[in-house]
Amino acid sequence: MVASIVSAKGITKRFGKSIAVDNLRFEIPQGRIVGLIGPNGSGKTTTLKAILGLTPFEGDLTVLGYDPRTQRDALMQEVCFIADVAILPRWIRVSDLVDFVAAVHPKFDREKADRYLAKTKLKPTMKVKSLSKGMVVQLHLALIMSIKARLLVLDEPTLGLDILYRKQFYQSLMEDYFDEEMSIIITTHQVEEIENVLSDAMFIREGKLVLFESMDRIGERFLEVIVKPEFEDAARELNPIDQRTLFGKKAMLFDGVARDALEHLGEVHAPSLSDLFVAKMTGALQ
Amino acid sequence: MTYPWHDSTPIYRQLKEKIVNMLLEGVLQPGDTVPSVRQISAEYQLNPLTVSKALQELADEGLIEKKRGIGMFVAGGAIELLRASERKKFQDIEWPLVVERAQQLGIDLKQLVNRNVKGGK
Amino acid sequence: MKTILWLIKREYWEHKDGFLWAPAAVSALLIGIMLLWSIGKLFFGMNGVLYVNDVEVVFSNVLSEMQRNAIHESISFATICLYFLLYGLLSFVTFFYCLGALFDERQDKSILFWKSLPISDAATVVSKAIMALVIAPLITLAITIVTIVVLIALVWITAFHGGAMFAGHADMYKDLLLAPLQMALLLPLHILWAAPTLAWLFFLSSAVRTKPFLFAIGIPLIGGTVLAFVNEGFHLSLQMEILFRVFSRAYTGLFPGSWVFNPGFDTKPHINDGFFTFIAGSWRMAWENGLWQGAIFATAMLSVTIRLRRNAGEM
Repeated sequence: MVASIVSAKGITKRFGKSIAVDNLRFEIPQGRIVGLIGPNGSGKTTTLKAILGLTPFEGDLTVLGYDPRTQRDALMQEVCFIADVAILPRWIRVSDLVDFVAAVHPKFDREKADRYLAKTKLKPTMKVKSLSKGMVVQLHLALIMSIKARLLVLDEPTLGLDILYRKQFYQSLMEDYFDEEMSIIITTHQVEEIENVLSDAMFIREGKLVLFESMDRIGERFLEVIVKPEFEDAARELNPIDQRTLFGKKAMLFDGVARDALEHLGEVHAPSLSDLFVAKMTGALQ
Repeated sequence: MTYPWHDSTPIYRQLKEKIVNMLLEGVLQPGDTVPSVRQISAEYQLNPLTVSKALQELADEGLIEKKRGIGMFVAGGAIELLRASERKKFQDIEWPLVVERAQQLGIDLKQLVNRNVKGGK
Repeated sequence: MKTILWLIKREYWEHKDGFLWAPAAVSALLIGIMLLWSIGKLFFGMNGVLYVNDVEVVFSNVLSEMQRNAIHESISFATICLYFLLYGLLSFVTFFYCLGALFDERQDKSILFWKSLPISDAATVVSKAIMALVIAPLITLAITIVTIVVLIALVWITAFHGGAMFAGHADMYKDLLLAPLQMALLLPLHILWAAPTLAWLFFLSSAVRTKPFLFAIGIPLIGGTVLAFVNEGFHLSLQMEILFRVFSRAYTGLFPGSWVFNPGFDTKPHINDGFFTFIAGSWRMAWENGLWQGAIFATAMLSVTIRLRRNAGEM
């Protein structure tokens, strides 16, 4: 059995009267790449903050065996995160930043960092404030990839970057960093971009977990059918969870209905993750 | 008709098909190295588990072989194996569909074959 | 401990402008002025007569008692001005450094980067305190010493060219050169004395959401005014005097040596006291004026600040 990297047994966070996160329960095993997908204000940021020990919460949460509230310093030796695209200190020089992280992080591999930086256009004397957004991310990623972490949390890591940097970001991650001993949690609005990189998807809405499945299971569970008009009623009998209009035809989404049962109704395809997300967000809470 | 949505086949199967096509077209030859899971997942931005699954199935079908400590290679008899199974697939599944479609459209198959073999490409 | 050293290095890198270049610039300016004087004297004739404290001093081989005293006093005066300038600048820079210490990183979100590293909040706050209370004064002290040495050298060179053996009077220079040593030895006192001010400013820095400077100025001003009115209006006999002393301590605490500006007994230390008398006297002065109370307050405030930073995870 693979060890759980994150184990949440009912975490809740309140801000005054409103509930940001409502009794969330989930387990993230090792070796997974999990997409945490939800609209703004859904509680996904709060969930990440709780995992990283950046906010207090009620309930039981273990990350890599640590309680993020009380053992944050130890936790930070094995977790890396990129919280936003532009949070590197603007006044610091590239070489000084690398020296600092090397001195302060016990799991930092200086040689790796130098190797990654050599592949970019970054020079040691450059100040962060003179770098373009894409180069800042390259620098931050080089630092992260040189740290042997067991969990990597990425909150919108490619926000505002142009497509070249975005592709390079995930390519570098997969090529030089990710392995079976770690897990990655990513949140992003560009669901299409990471869809194939994910091994699991978590949908969160209004503080509640609406879905948490492996991509394989999602492929098996959810099917969308462009229903031929004559079969519309028959299709509705099978309880679609959502419906939309596509090219003047009705497309219905089914959960857990066998493919054979649907094939005669029309063309059957697996929905994209973003379409599934939209359906789950606008449809009734499952 | 193509709809702008996700394909009906899972990604790992699409990846398998891609590699199979490369074999059939001669881009990959028997004995060639197959790129590692890491390289493929980086280049196509896929989850390594997905890539593993595809490669494992190809190995199970005898098209690629893993050599411990060295890597993965296209198996010696891969092309023949493939041709044989593709032939079977064409004969059992694809051809009957074409026949059915031709009949649906009222096309004389004999004329079609003559025209294509003689004149065309 | 390696972490704290690197954190201090980081503070230095980030605030080099205020802690190094600013006093260096002031020093360079003073040296520049002195240089102009020297050059003037050197090239435009040594026949010029120098008036020092209304005493005519001609650069000649032997100086009279009166002349020597006059020179001594003016050099002392110049040194005191130098100290006030450089240490005044230091207090000013440190004040704003403290206000921004835990605020700036929240404003530009770099706190999220620092928090992604295994660095404790306590280490962070402590390193900033060390920067403000120890490193910054030491840098200023070093610059002061260098400036004094250069200035003296300039005076010597100029005088020498005019034929005066200026090096004669040891007394004149003893004070000048021992004074920095006194300042260095008084550093521990400065740390304790300035700590409550620092802690108060750090607290504001970590607690307020915007414009910490307004809070820093506003709270004592408005709070004090309100209390004064309440005091008058309700005929309470609040010890406004004490409040005033607390506030003035709060805002002058960062100026090294400000403990002498307190109402004290006759044992107020004077710069002409003996070397160790001055130091001991300063400690006593501070002790009698709330040194340990301030230290306790500082410890409490810093704990609160560390707590606040722990929960400051904006994303």
